Amino acid sequence: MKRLFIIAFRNLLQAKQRTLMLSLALSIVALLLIILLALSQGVANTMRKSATILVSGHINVAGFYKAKVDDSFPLVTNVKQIEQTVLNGLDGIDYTVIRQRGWGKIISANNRIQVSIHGVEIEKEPGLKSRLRMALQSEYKEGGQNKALGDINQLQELDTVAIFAGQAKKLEVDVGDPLTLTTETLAGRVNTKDVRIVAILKDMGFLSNWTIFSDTRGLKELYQLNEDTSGAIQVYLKDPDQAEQAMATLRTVLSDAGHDLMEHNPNPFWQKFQIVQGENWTGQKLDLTTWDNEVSFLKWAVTGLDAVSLSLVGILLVIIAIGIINTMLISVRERTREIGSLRAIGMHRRQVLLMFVLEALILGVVATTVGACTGAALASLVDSAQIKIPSAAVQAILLSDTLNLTVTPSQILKTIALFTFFSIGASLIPASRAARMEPVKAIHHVG
Amino acid sequence: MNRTLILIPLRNLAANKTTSLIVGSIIFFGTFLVVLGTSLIDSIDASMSKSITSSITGHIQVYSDATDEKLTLFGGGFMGGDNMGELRNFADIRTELENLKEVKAVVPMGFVNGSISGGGNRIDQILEEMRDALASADSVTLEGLKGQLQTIVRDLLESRNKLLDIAEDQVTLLQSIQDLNRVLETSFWDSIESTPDKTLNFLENNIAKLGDTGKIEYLRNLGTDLERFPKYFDRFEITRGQMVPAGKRGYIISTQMYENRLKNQIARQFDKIHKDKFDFGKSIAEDPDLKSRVDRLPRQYRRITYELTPENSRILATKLEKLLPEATGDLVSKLKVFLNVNDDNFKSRHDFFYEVIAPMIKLYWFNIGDTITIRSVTQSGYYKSLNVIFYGTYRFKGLEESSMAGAFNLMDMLSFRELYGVMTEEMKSEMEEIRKEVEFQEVGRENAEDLLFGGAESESTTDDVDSVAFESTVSPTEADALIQETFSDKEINQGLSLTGAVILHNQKDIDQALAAIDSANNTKQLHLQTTTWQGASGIVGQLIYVIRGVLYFAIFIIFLVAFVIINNSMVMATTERTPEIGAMRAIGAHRKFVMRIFILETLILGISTGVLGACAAAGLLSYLGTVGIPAPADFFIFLFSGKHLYPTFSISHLLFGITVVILISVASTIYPARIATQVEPIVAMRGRD
Repeated sequence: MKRLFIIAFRNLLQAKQRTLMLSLALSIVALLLIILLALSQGVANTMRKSATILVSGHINVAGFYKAKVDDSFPLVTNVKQIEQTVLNGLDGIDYTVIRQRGWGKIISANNRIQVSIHGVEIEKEPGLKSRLRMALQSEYKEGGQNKALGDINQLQELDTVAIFAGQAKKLEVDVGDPLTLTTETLAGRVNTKDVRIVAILKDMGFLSNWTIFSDTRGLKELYQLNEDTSGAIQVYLKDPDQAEQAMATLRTVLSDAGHDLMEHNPNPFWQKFQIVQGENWTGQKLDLTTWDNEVSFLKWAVTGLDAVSLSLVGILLVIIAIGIINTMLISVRERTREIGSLRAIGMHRRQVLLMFVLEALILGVVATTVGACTGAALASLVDSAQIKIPSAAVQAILLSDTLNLTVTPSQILKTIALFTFFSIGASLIPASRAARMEPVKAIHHVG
Repeated sequence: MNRTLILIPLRNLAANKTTSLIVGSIIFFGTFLVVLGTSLIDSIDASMSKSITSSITGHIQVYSDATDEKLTLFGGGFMGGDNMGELRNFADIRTELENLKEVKAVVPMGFVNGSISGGGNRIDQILEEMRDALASADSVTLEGLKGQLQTIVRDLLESRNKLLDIAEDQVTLLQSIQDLNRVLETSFWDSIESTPDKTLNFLENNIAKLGDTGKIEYLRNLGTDLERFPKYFDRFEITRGQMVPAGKRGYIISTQMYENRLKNQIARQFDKIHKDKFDFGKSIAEDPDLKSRVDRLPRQYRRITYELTPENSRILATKLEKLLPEATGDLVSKLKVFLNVNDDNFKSRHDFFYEVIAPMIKLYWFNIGDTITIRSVTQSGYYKSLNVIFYGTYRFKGLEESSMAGAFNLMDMLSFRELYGVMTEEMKSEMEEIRKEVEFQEVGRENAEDLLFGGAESESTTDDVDSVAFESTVSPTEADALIQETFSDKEINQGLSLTGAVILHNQKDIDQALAAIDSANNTKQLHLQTTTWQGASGIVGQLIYVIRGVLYFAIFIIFLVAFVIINNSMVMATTERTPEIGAMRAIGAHRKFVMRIFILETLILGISTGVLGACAAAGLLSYLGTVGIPAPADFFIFLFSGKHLYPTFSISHLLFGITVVILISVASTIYPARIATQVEPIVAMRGRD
């Protein structure tokens, strides 16, 4: 085995030029695949990050309240007690927060935009506080200073909001400016309130264009809700990957505690109003979702990106396979006499086959490792450079205004394994042709 | 060039079959992909441009140069907040631009978001009918109305009791519960015939306000010249009802919106399942999304029962009994059985619904001819309600299924101006003055509004959150007058518009037209800026660039790898042929000659397989051009400008593909050919061993 390995290695070294060429092709494609995977992973991560900061916990215990059959209020009653049940019933919780949900317009003297309003108790949300970044004044105001004004902690005060830089630019407002917040209440009435901007935050992709934070008391007043009614309990887990299982556990816990649960529907809550409205029940039902569900409407971007990457890499692999087969066929022909001699001195057919396969294996492993690692390095470099994306359409697809690439070791390992496997597969045809050779004929072959 | 030079490469190609085959197939697929890809993308570009230009934007949009924001009609990433600026006097702009020879017409456009509510307050209607019944002393009708009112009150009471769980303001709620209970007492009705005013006043003041205002939908509206719009956006067609008569106020809803958002929920579900099943070939049993839709259907039976008169309930129960003899119990349980559909019975249930049930219920929120109240937030931030007559629904031919093309509902220019709330510069600065003078926290925007506009009905302050504060309502008589009012062409044009859609005689002239508009703009001081349809469509229009970018990137990478592979194959082929080349050189062939042989070899291979590849792509494209590529999702209908994309290709696509591929293949031969020319005759003849 060791000998075969050495022979294969030597052969590769001897045919330096073609080995280099094939390696180059393999490396380029491996590099490309890694970058595309990193991009897709980057988008997925951005999505998770912005989803769990802006609109969702890892799991959400939300629901609908219906005073009459035709209603569908996205509310949870007895929210404190339910939070306690959640905390007692589920292991692995990092922390939980209660968020009020609203939908309305923010109006400045110059403009107005429609946003979803998240009522937060900022003093109870260390997670949120540490993950939101303040925008520099120059980011939203021409000629602004290069420093962040405002203080997110002031969201504790009544009638305050924190908005995002893109919104501030649209509304032409700054920290400390007043805004009018109007919503339509549960009864269809228009309520309005003046609020003060206490912080302007760095944009977080598209999702942040439609999101603002407000103090929870003010929002409750706007909707005329009592203390113990809110929008959702957002549960943050120590291990976010466990969200699906944790949600299943929570469903059992809550239903055992006597709560009515809606059937699981893996879509964001705002897509469920119509469904709930049509259903024949009144009172409270809880609805559990994961962060993934709440941003399911954004997934087409990742899906599309993956589809493009896979088809591109697929085509490229076919071309490379053709190249490998061709090169090795020629190499087998060139080495016919050598193979004949080896067979004549007692080498088995299987060993000949193995010799050629080993060649492909070494080529595959070395070339893809080089390509994948270069790709990974390049991706990390691009990621850390925080390159701005110029086109709004690309921003929409990538869900971010900077280029985010995330490389994981598993991507690299998978790429190397896939490509090596692939070159072995391609080498089987020429290798088996070599193995089939009759020793005597082979020696007589004039090459 | 002599025959030998042609014959040698041909012989070589035949001799090295494997290499020829492999390089040939790479070239073949390369050309195939380039031709297919570029043709498809150009077809999509053309169809999308048709979708966008023929639905909303026209070829060019002109708008005020006072705004530094880019005009994006299909959404720029925010919800609302598009600051398009204003064109103060559209007539001037229209006259000037329509003088240009490239321009066919300029159509005014104004965009305003608004909400409409469905249903209306049934209590108000009942009270009105009660008054009539009292006036004509019709005690039978009165008794019936009383029963209806009490049913509503019982429902209200139940929901008020539930609201106690979530509402902060318990006092008001408890008061309303007390009022509702009073209506249910028999003693309350004792005096209705003796002192009707007292009873009715109580109902009007205390009860009617508790009634439901109904469901709310948010709509995007396009105010335009309703006479000229259909003329210049030639895909426009009325699908129901009629166009708003000339010089009248009116509202036209997009068919998409009417069918998808303003239709009875059950009917909508039946439509959707029908479409999935018969248009997209999905099966209820196998498709999880469809399955969950079907599972939810029986629970929604109230969408039918709520709409039925007692008489119709009886009729429906009998008909259902005939259809479903196995279903027992009352109408509700029968309906639940009826709504339990599967792949086998769906067609018949769907048909029964439309034949029997649909005529008994209100299938849409509004019928043609109804008066609709549209509510919007005006420019200055106060609410404005406007009544308009709903004349009909429209669609753009070929874009029936696209929700993007049906994104806007149309209204006349005058209604738009009212909902938009024109603010003059003086009003703006006056507002600003008031804002500065008075501490903002105390005087909210609506109070400023009061000061400015002589006061609205309400006196509430900002702190009084549960108020309908700054609503400017139009009284019924006023509203009627508005609906009756007619206006002239002059009024449409001489006034505010947000943008103008410029329609050209020929889309190809777009660059000249832009230049002409710019110069007219400069000389006549029109204060305009322009954007093409692509710019105006925002992200949607940019998408084509992204797709194109991805395609070119993919082609580039594919050729890069192909280049390496071809190069490698050729180098190997050269090495194999070292003795042969040596022999040629020995009998007097020049290096140049050897080089030529190699290049020619690739050229012959490249041209033949390239042409084949291009032909294969052309063949596939013409096939697709006749059968069409079906749009897989809503968004693609817009991209494809219809349910199918019928791709076309031109000679230039083929030539481009072949040229690119030949260049690449020749380039990849140069290195191996150079190696070949380096072969020294004597070394070559010695061979490898």
